[in-house]
Amino acid sequence: MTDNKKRQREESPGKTKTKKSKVAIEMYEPAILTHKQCLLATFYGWDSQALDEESENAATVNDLSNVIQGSVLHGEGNSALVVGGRGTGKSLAIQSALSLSSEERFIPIHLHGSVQTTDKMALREMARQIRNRGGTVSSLDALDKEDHLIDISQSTLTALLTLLSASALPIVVILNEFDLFATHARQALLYCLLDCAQGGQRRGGLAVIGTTCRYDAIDMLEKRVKSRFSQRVLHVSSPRTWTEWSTLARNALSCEVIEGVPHMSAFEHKWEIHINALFKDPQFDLVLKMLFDMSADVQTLYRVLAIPIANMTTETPFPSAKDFLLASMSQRPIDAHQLIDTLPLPALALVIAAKQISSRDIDQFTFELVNKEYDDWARKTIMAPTSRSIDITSTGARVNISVWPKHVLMGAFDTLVDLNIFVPVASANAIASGEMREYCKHRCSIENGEIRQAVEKRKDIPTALYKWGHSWN
Amino acid sequence: MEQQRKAIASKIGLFLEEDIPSPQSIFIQDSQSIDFTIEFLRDTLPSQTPFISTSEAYNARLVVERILTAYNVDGASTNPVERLIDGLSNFQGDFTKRYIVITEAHRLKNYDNLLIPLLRLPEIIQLPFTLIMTSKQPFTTLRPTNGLSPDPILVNIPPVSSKDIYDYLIQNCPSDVGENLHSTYQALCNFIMSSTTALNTQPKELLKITRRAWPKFIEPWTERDARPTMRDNELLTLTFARASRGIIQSINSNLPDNMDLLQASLPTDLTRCAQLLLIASYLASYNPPKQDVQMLSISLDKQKLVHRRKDAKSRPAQQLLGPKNFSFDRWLHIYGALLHFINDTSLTAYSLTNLKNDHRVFTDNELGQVDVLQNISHLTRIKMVQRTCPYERLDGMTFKCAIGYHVASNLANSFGVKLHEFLWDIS
Repeated sequence: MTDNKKRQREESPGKTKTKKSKVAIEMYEPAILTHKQCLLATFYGWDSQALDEESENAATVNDLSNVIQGSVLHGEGNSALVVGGRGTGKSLAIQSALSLSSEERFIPIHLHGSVQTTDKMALREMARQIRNRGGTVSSLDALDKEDHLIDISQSTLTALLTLLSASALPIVVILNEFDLFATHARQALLYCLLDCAQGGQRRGGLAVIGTTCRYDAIDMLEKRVKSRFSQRVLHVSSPRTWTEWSTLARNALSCEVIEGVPHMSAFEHKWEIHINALFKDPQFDLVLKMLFDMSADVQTLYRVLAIPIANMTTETPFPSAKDFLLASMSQRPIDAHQLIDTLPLPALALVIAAKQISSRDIDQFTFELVNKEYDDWARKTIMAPTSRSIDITSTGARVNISVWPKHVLMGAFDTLVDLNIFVPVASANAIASGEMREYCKHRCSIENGEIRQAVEKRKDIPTALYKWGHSWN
Repeated sequence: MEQQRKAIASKIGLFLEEDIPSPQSIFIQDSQSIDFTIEFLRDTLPSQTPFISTSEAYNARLVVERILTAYNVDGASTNPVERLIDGLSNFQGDFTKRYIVITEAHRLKNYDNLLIPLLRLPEIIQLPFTLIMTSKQPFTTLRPTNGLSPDPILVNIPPVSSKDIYDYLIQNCPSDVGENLHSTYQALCNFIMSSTTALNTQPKELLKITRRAWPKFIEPWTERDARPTMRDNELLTLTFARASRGIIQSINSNLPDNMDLLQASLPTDLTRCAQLLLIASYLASYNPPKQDVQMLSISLDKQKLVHRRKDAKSRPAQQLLGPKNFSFDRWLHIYGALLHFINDTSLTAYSLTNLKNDHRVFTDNELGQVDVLQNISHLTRIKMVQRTCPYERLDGMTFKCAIGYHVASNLANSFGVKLHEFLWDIS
């Protein structure tokens, strides 16, 4: 609880609440905190969530667990590939399968195609994880030397065999982003791993499990690699029906009674009533439906659910449907008009100028070009020198739109580049190599319609500029 | 800025409470009050937390180094990503939640593949590290393609209200503003708010502007101990508004307000030959090569201007697009042709007069004589003309003019010629 919230509570001690109800709420404080901790740990991905027994993915977990058990218990060499879209629960399936064999002793190795971008990095990461699990990898020191190049598949194989023999325990290698490993030179690592798994060259047992969201991942493999792969492809999918999706959300929000926390079951009862009411609320329904229709991504759902839950206090222990709606809005990519809303007027004028230029089929512009465009318009429209732009009335000074001098516009241009609204087209070192700032080519990252909307929504904009922002097709 | 501070605290605070878990990564987008956001983070987070600014740590290695130093661990590898993973996985901390803050995070996309390991850090090392990124730009500008990393929790800090900025200016009034001058300072703040917020919306910069404007504002008020009336304040505002003209705008910009004048000032320390070469380079950069003959022949009368391009609508003028590259030979030829147009009186250097009058020596060879070449090498060395090819290339060298229209035009005037008469495109 931050000081801020405490203060807020002290300042407004439950406007309409009686003293009794306040006591009643405070009674639940430990229960609310525990509940909040449990939910957030899952939503933020620190604890893995429980898998639904009846979902399609349960079968996949079962298969996977068989693969792992085969290697761990019987010393087999196995390989499998888990295919599914982003956020459908590939990693969760693997985690669940691994946890089913948690009593056995084995070494799980997690590799990420997006992090270990070369075979050498992957091998070193494997060495590190084996070392952490108590394996002796002293013979691998050659790998750590930068000059020791492992570029032919033969030496990758040698290194890998050294690695895998470093521990007698069964090893389960999990290759996240399997497709990225297939882009490595000659697919050396994949070839060696799958060869080891298939040929049973390792006594302890080896399972190679890949995850990918590319359905053609198998086709990316070279013939010799493909033939060593067991062709066992498992699929996971996110909830396909609306019922499944809302059940998932319902389960995610459910309260778990934890022993030893005072008044937990009483709070759980109240919470269940609130959640039931929430699922009947059309606003909450809208949030879930939007998420289901647009992404059907469990992680996105969790991100949205996490915010109202994190906002829970003893004062407001039951988040409303509107909180969820606001949270789902905040997790969407920011609208352009929000960016434009805080722009200084010269910068806004330049954005409009850039769009005027683009309407003549010129999509790349230099500072000089937008400056000229603005200047032409401003002189035509305003016909007033800069000095007159500050006119003093009885209410105080007021800035009208004016023919801003070049250096002000240059500052505004820099602001826009800083906000990534104007994106340099040339490489970053063009300026470093002496390219004149005025002539660096840029393009505008905001669409015409978005600018028009932003101009409409902004209130403090001078009429002339407003008209200009509307005068193109 | 009290309201804004409250808004920031309520937006971010809920993720950083001590007894509940924090997200794996948070992205804070704040275009107006980023300094206050970082201030809040500094106050809230544990003191050990590294705050890494990407403008200071300009590559992946430095970022990793800062993180490892802050947590007092060391990694074995030389590769930044491996070093980060190796170092942090050895970390033995006594507190449960740890943070890494990266400010101006939008630059991370240029730090070869560091972003994805950072976003996936908790997953890889199995320790509760929370990555907090702040930036003026939205997350979409650095989001890894193809969904290679989990999306962070997005936090969008709302814009600052102008009332809030006004209060902030009032609160931070300079120490030399006495009790009696307080209302006068308020008058200045009012003026700044109404005249400058259109040009600059950053609260810190507005404060800087107000502070710098204050001495000028109070200058006419000589009796520093007296209390100005409302009428006096209005008069002071009026005086300042008249005097300020460009002041406000000049404070706003990071460039000198006489930039245009500076640009037009003549490079008088150059030799006459070099100056003429500069004009030639300007013409070579901004004229289409095919029109050289037409623009620079002596026989044709200046009526030829009729043929100049009129279809200004179709393509923007070269002056707006920037200089084009030209070859060394073309430069020399334009220079040679220009010699015919310049005034005799403006020429003082012996070699130039000689070149101009003696038709026997006016050949390609003579144009490339040693002192001309020396001037060319001087011009490229001081970057008034840029060499756009590798330095080792001697054949087919290309250059680009780096002076603006005003300089070129003034230079031409000093030689008694009109620059626009030689320009193909005069829109």
